[in-house]
Amino acid sequence: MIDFILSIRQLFVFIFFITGIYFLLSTAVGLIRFPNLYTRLHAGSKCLMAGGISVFMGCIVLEGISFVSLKLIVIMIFLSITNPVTIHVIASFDNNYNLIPKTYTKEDFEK
Amino acid sequence: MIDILFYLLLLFLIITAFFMVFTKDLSNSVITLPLFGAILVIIFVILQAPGVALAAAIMTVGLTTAFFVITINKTEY
Amino acid sequence: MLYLILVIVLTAILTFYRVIKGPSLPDRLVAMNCIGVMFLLVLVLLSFYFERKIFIDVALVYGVFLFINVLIMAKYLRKPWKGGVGD
Repeated sequence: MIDFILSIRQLFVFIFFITGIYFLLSTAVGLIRFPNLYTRLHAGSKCLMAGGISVFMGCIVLEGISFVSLKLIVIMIFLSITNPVTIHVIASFDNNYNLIPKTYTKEDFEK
Repeated sequence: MIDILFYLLLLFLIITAFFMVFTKDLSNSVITLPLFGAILVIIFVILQAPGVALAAAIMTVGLTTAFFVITINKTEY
Repeated sequence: MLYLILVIVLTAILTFYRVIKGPSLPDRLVAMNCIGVMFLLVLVLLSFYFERKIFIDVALVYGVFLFINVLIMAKYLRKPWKGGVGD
């Protein structure tokens, strides 16, 4: 029975780590291939946090209930609070750099 | 196996340092400085020195970059 | 565990392409933030690889100072620098 529980834990750790690797690789591909600042902000915000939270959840499941997992939960909550603040601050000063996106919509021509 | 990671990090350190020296604009150089500090922190952790890693994390990532950014902002040529 | 760390470091090297060839300064800042968070994950995973739990404190302090660093850059580099070459 205990062996079964340990194998279930290893399976969950494996699934969380594979998910984290997938999202981090998609972050790198998105930052290289996207043409515009705003799409790069989108890749740098959502995919990065998905990968980070997946890797932290894998570490928490691997550790079990202890004082170390409390520290990991603190780091995870701190990261998930501060990274949207950072992306919002970076996105708020693009007016000073004359960044015009290359793709237009129909409403831009009507102005 | 840990040697491959160590040499890969040393290669990344050299790439970061060369980009930091040979770029044209000075603000690009000061953006790359915390990455240099972060790679240095990971190398100290691999070499089993957590105290030096804490000191390098505070100084190189935090304080030195902040002082450089404030100083560069106050100058024009 | 070690293959995971190797893949994350290779991902950081791939992301460093955007720092080298970014058209403007906010692109480089976003790429720098991404590489910083990836290195925080590397620090946490190295703590589990060596089985010394003191290394998690290094990751916590590094995360706090990374956030402060990006906020200071966003405060003082809000306008383009006057003496810069300006790619």
